[in-house]
Amino acid sequence: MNVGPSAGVVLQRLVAELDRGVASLDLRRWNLCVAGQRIAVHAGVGAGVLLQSMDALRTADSAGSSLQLFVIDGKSDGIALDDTVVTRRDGCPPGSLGAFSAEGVHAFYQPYAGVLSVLDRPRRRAWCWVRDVAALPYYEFAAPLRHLLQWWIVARGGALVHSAAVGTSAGGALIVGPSGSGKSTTALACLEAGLGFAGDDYVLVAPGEPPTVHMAYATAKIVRDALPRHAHYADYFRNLGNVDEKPMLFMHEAAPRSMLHSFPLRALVLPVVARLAKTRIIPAAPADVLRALAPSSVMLFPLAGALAFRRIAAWCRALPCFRAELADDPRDVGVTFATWLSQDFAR
Amino acid sequence: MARSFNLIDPPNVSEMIDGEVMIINLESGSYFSVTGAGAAIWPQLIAGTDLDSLAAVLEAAFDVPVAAVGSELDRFVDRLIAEGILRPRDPSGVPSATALGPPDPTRSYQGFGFERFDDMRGLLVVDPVHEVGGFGWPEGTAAEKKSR
Repeated sequence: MNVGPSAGVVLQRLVAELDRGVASLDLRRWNLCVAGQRIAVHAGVGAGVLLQSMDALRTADSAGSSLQLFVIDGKSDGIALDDTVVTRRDGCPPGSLGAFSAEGVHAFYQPYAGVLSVLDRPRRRAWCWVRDVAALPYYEFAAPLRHLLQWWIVARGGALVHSAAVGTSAGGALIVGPSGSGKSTTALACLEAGLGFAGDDYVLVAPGEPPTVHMAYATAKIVRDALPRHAHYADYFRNLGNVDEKPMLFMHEAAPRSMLHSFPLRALVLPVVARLAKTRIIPAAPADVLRALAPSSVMLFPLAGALAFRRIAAWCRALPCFRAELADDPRDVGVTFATWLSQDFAR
Repeated sequence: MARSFNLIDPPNVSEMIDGEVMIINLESGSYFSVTGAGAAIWPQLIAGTDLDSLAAVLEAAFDVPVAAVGSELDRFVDRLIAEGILRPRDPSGVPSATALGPPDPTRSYQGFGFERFDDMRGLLVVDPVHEVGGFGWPEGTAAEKKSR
């Protein structure tokens, strides 16, 4: 929400405080290639742990960074910031996410996770302040910095979408649907069948004809019941101890040769658990696919939702949409997707 | 007096796809589907074209009595107002109605489809007021933690 000049003053003070904080730290630099752009991420040892799912994006090329992004672990870096209107979310309507924007600066605080995201677009600087990295819920490790990435890519004509993505360098598909709809299971089945893996929950989509899908995180979440099926990744399981949360893998560790950093987007697919003997992939109404993809992609991202929705709708209109009625056997799912993706999707 | 309306934006955003309108309320987490006659006139409705003119447009396009379609249109708009999607606007200076293309005998009148979805609302249940923790920043409330 925009709250006028007073918010501008508050946000500039916050930015100055963050600047002073990071100036006092001994930070290590990670050069990431994100959606074809260089982002320089600066983090201390404690905060660096948060970046593991983005390790596959690291590059030796440090030239021409489009963003300087600082990740701060309040606890281990010893930077406690003042309580402000931003963290209290003063003036935000009850039930809303609450975010602040003024003079090109966006700020959003997640009180449960204790994560503050601030993007200063005019200065091309961003900060992710975490109250205590060691106390973060697992999903923050699965998809870190996602509000900053959403604001950044939306300003470049794209969107961070809630979707899995598989394919080859010649082209691939977004696998869309709400949590629990089979995105991760389908993406891993496709990887096992030889397709490249670009993500199982959030991926970046950059504009173009066709748009380009870019990996954001190498994370794959696994339902606990399916762990025996993925026993060959046992050395790489994370988060096994917390029975209330999903185990996860970082696929750049577990299956490095299957990483697919980007591909032309050829189709959108809505998986449906159909318990068939043989997986069927059939045309779907674009409106059904939009309804499955857009709400979870836009609602959790204040200050970016409206633009992200417009772009996702445009992609659903322009690209072929399908429904995948899934067989019980994941091997059949993977092989069917691999065969299907080898065909031409001209619409 | 003719009634005219605007989309309440923010927090609502709408997109037309394949003869259907999807509306998302970015604050409440609810989203909506509009189909049939409502989708056919959606761009004109949220641009402020008055309801009498829109009823006439639908009568011409679908060959249905204007009185019947007018009362259905009123009920549809009242529902959109109740959902916080539309608000009345000053009818002066509104765009005049345009026809929905030439009459098409194969196009049948489907009424005003409207559906509400609330499956995303749980993700947005957050409490904007938080206790300040010992480390200087607000902690999530117990209710919020439970909701995650």
